[in-house]
Amino acid sequence: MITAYKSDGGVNFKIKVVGIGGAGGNIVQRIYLSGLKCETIILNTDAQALSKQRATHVIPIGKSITQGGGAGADPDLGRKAAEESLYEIHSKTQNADLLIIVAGLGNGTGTGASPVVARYAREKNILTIGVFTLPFNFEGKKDISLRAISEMEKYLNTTVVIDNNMISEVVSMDSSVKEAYGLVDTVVKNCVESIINVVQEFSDVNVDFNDLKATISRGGLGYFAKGVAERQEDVKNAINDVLFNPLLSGVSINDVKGALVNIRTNGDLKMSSFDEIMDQIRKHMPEKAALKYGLQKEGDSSVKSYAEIYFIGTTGKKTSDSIVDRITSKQRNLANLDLPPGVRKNKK
Amino acid sequence: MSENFMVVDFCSSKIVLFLAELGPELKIKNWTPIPVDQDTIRSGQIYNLENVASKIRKGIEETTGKSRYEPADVYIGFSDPEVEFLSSIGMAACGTPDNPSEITEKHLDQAITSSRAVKLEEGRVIVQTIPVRFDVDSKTDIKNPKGMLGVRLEVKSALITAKKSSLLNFKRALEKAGIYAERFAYQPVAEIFELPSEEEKENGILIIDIGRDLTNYGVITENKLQLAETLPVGGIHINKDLKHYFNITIDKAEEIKKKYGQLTFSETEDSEYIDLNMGSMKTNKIKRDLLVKYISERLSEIFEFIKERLIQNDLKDKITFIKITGGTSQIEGIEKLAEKIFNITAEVYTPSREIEKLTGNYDIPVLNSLCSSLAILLFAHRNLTSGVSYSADLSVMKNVKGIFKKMFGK
Repeated sequence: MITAYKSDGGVNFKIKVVGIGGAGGNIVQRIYLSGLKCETIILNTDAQALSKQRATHVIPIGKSITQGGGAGADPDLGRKAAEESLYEIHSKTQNADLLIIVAGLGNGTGTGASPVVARYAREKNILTIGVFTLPFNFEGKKDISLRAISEMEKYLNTTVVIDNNMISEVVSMDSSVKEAYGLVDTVVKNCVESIINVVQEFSDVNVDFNDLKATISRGGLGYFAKGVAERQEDVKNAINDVLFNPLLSGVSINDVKGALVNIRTNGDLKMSSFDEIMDQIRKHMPEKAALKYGLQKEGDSSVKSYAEIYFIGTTGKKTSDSIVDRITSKQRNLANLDLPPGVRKNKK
Repeated sequence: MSENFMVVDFCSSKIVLFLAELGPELKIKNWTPIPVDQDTIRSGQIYNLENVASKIRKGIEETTGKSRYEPADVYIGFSDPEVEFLSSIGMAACGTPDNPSEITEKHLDQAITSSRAVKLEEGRVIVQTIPVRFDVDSKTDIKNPKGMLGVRLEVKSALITAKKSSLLNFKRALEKAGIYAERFAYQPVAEIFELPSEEEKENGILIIDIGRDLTNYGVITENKLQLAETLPVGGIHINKDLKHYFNITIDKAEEIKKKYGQLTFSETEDSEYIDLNMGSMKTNKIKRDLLVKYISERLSEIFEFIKERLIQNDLKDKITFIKITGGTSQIEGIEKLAEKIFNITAEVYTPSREIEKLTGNYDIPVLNSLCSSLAILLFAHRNLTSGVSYSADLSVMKNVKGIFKKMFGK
């Protein structure tokens, strides 16, 4: 069933986006430069990388452990760095109504420090979403990334996983490497933008922070997407961008148990387009899934497009088929099986 | 005249060859079990390809009476702890909302093919694709969507992925023995489909097959495949434990495990000793309760591993029955131990029902250790007669086959 209601609006919720490590920092810098209404924080062990980055707060972490030289692809060092700098992290993230952690997994700082920040947020009862990218297969770091995700699932309300390996599925082979990498950054930025738009942008038919809270509190893997139709004839493509987001790993719109859709427009949006958007989204979600939407009838001067569709969905699945089957199978403690179980127990 | 097909099942302690007729009934023409040692096949992997090839060549001669034989189809049964079980959703567009169209075989094939479009780790291939569930538009869980009208067909498939190099070794060994095979069947999948009754599959069942150095297990609930995996541990690990604790040889450990191995030993008999009859050896007698303890520890660990996987996959409360089979299932009281750990009724399963399904004049003993091979045979027959099969993409080997054809006209 689709429900909608109008709220009073006007309340500003504190959304803080934390980019951890090199990749997380780059994405958060993009968000900062794009002018999205949120506070941005970059945490990194690499002082040189930090010196080139811009955000509301740029915080070097683990100075005494890494001397600002980076975590050297060692997640353990990244973890210790975050633990050492927990006070600084606390001072910049406290009072957040919603925390979004963004990191590229596979190397030291993102993989090691992200679980520390996620755990801290859970301890402080901050609503937290993690948006992570998985490394390319050739990097050989998928296992440590999946282990980090598995750990963070305990702390995060919702986890969005973007698989770099799927880039080749969505970009043409003629695309430059820069474009391909830029696409991942864009997808992450879109995820964050979807969240901010849902709660910060007031609409005539509104979804608000409590709706977001209810949706992402279902937990598990998230399915976030954005589709933009510059003109009326682009609506189908925009819907497709929402329905099929191949970079998101382990989930599809079919898995979504609850979702928020926010549609922004320059004021030209036709009823037929609105119907088509909602109808197609509804059709592709499971029958019993909850769906709420926000819509501007009048149009927004800051929106140039015919329609911008933001979709935030959660699956409630603590573990997703394709991602977690691999995680858990790797997690099994199957080492030293040649030793008797009793001997192994004693060694522990 | 009906064509023949062959099954070559690579078990942990033997290779089993079946030659059968491809008809509505499963008629066995001959069969041969070939024992292999741990230097030849270990943990489901070939460790001595020449030896495997020569044993299979000999086995084929025994089975077919010919030095060269070309069956119409060959199925390779295998098990491997590195196999991964994945779920994936595929879809096919059938029509438009205003003009839904009939779902045809082509749509089914498109949806299943699209479910196979997953990114795999390098060096992995999809060995088997098993459609688990179909949805058409808002109608979910349809057993056979063919002929229905709809806009969008979705399939949830179970994908069995394995390391390409392991599979190629099986193929290469067979090629060296003069047999070309394209089809693979993962033992836990075949067992979970073929060993339970239809009612058990509907109610939810776990099958555990404990072999020499591997344990296969699979779960099916509501007639849908839920899990199929392999652990790199089996009966040989019990022998290794007994060797470790009692300072005896592996062979002696196997002997006392077979003779005295039991899990229903009562506390009142705890003073009983077992005489190992080892002459002047240091350890000549062992306490029976210790033997029970060590065997129990290892089997409990295997069951606990499996239980953990069921919990991780939200399956623990969805199964109502457990069947334990494989060579190691003959340890007395093993089903009681399983019942204690899983808190579900368990039984030791002997494949008499499967053997009854076979026709032909060849006697096959009712041995638990033959369960996986019989399951592969039944699975292969079912797939070949129904024509449904999605074989592994081993393109490298296809080229090799082409080269062989050119060189030998085969």
